[in-house]
Amino acid sequence: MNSFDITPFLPEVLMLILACLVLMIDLYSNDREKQLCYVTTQIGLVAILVYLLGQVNIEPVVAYGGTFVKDSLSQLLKIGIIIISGVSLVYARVFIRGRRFLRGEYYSLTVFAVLGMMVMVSANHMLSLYLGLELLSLTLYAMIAMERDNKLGVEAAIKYFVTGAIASGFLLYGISLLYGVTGHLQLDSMAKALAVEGDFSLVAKFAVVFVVAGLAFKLGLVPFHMWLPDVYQGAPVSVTALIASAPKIAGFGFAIRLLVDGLEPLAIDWQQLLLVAGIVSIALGNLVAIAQDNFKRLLAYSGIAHMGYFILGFYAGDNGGYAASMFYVLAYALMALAAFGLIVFMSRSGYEYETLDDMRGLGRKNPWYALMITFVMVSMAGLPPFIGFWPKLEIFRSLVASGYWQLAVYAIVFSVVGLYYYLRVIKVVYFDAPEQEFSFLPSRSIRFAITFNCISLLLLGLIPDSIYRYCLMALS
Amino acid sequence: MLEWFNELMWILLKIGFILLPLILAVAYTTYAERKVIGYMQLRMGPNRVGPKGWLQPFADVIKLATKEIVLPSGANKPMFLLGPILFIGPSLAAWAVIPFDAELVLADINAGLIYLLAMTSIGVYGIIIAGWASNSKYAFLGAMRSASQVVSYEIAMGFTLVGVLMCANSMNLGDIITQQSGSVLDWFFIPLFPLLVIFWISGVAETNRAPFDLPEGESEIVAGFHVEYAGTAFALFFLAEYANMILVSCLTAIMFFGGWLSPFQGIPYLDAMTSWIPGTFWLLLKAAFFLFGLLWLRATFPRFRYDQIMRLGWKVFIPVTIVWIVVLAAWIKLQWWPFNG
Amino acid sequence: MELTFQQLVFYGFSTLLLLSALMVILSRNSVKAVMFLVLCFVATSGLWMLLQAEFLAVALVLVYVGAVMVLFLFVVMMLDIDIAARRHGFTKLLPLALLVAIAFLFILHWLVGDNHFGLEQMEAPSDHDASYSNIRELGKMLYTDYFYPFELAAVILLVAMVAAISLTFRGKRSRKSQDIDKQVRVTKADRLRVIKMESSSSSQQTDSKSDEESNENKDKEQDK
Repeated sequence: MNSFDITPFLPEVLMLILACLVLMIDLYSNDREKQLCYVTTQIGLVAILVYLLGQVNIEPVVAYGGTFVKDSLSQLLKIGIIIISGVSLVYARVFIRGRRFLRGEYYSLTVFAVLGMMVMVSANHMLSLYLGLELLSLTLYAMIAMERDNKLGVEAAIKYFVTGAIASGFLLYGISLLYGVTGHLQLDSMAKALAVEGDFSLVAKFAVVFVVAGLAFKLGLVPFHMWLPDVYQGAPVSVTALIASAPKIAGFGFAIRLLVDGLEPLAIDWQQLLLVAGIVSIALGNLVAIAQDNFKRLLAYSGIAHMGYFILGFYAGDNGGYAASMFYVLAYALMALAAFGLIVFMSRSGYEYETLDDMRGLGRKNPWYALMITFVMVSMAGLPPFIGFWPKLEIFRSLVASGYWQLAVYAIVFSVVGLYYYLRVIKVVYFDAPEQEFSFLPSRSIRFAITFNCISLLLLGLIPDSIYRYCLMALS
Repeated sequence: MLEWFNELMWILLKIGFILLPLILAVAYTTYAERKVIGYMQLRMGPNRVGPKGWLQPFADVIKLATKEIVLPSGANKPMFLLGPILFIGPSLAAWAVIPFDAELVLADINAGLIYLLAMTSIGVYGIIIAGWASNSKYAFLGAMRSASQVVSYEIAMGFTLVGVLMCANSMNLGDIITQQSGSVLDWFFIPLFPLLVIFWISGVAETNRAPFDLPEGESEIVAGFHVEYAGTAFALFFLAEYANMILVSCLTAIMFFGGWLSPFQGIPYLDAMTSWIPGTFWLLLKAAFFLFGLLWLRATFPRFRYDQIMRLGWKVFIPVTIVWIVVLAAWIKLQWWPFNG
Repeated sequence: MELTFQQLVFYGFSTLLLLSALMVILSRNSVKAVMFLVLCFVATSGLWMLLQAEFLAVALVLVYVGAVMVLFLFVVMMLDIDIAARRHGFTKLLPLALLVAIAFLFILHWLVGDNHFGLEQMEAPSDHDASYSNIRELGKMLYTDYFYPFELAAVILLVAMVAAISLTFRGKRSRKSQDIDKQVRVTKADRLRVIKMESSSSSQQTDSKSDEESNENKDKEQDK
């Protein structure tokens, strides 16, 4: 190993350097506003983003003893992750200042989280997959608990930590069994070994149960969803905006790498498990969301339902289905970011408009932001021409194409159920009488970002092919 | 069946060969300590039992052995008795890997260095358990102090041993010594001088000796973690502390001063003239020198303040060791290394 | 059946491991539970030693027993948990939990037990020769084939450190603390002033007067 080629994982290396740089700047600058940290983080993220954009369509490269893979899929997912995380930092900056936990660590931990996600989506080895996941989780635990005087936040962090630890346990147990069965940890060798029918197929199936359970924990699929509403509600909203968006993209990458790259021969087994989880998630998420008065919890349950739709794309079991899932998760990340971004924006120091009652009459006082909320809700409900509509359509189409039309009908029925609570939000905003004056975070950058984010839901919805084309390319 | 019995007996015999002299050495270290400090403070030291007080250690042993082990009320009995055992066990077990001469070692294992570290770090359980089980505030405070001190200095000590490891290319203590052969100039104390200083001071801190004897700072917390112990239980603590002192002295000799290698190696006539002296003698001589250093320290320095101890460990020693390891790595990698080819 | 020495050691450590693991969850005193956990690690390390992984075995003792569990014990001793009270109501779920546990045990035995991983399916790993060095092999693996996961693990530790500090460090408070650097830099001239005193030949009165003066000076010094 005389010539060492750093280019395959250069973005990751740069991300790590950025994180350490931000830490150092935080240590040595006396700036209470941490302006320099923020600017450095954003410039760094944009620079890495530009670097990645330059090489989207590439031949797959497997490097570093088979632990790392760089292909179009990983590049695209990384781009999505960086964009979403960068925007979430724009939301966070003013918010965390008002909440008195403006610390340089917020930025560096976010960069570490992005690094973890990047590692996950370009892992070609069980070890790097798992370590990426842990890197992400560890930063998120800390970020949730960062607002120390907020009891709900600390509670959320503990809940997330405990469930996350259990999920990791499941995952590791499954992985260890798979290693015992195949003798490999590298994903492609594992798939090759599993393709050969042996004495161990039963053990492998048993292992798949654990792996899928671990995955379902992390994605928040029913029956492993219990942590999700509490965490979304308890965490500082700016952190929730991050948790609810970018890690889902990484979760998709994780699922693709683990299930498709590594466990393709056992597709029948994990598809059935995911099918059950998906069906139940769609039903439970949509039904329970109806009963929610807290906007954050409502979004959490809607997130569970969305993850249910998203995972159905895996059931279709072909590249079209996976591409649809990828499209779905990218669109969902954008929508979730916008939704929680709005909650971040609609807050003053110490107070958030988090229950539905708080939002009464927003339409009369602030018609523009009411419109933004409407955009997000309509897009989440999956109505055309917004971005939320197209991936759902693709999922349904791939399900029908694979012959599972009953499933498509079921999903559509629950989409209609979901419509109810999304429209309820719009009703509260426009048709209820205002009870109070609204005052929002006084920041131009966040106002601009939120507007941009919400309008992009409409614009991208008008040209849906723009994203989907790349998704198909990445998975072809 | 008979084979392992034989083997087992043989191992036990070898253990006995190490432990009996060790315990004797401990006994006379206590005597030496009192004498040395006595002379340094212009006193006589013990001189009543036997000629010049030579039998004093035995008198002490008999006194301690015949005393009652008092169990404090409210103490957790099994834990209370477990404490001294947990303290002395590892400190004796560590001797298994010490090479006394070229082939004279009980367990010649590859991971000897890390085994030593592991054993010294286990010893802290004895202290914590003793302090906790005594159900006494002073004991508990002493245990806490001691444990945090040991844990802190262990890191610095571990890093210094990384330096030794880098020079010797091995974790086997015998190999570490043979790597230093050649002449006195090949001993590791020259390239690793900063690490030697840190290792030595950390060793003093690890054994809870003056001036780092905060855990038993009698002016503040009576006698620290073993305040409630009497009789043989106390004797075990005492024994383990002195065994640790001798161990640290031996380790300093092994890691940095060529262990059983003769200091006259490489000198034409002296080497031949002294070749009949066994290596064990050189090792013990070197160890005795450092042991004397420990006693000297105790006679000379006042006790540190607690925050100063922690600062020294975390803010001075650890950074210095890390920097020196980086420097060392650069040296070795760039082949500027003048030692051992 | 004749037991070899290795088998004896294996069964000894395994029994120790299982018993101490059981005691971790069964003992009423949390400090004892931690000590049994320590014993667990030691027994595991013994088992690893049998696999000729002496470096890993000793590192397990060094890291887990020597460092992690000590800190753990610290925390547990500081807490005042009445486990018996906590357990109240726990027994209600016991039958169900036992059922699940036993069922799981059977499944595990069936899948991971002898009929899949027995000696007929998997060969026993062969012994390494005497020149085999666990440390060397491990080092080679970690720094070549697995350097990427290895570095990632390092990043995770860095994050853990950053996270822990950012969660507990509450910024500089205005408290009175010694600045040790300043203390160390002090020289004799800063603290001590030699005062000329009149010799004893002068009268008693002036003597005592100058004494007072020097005392006053000293007081002022101390005030500073």
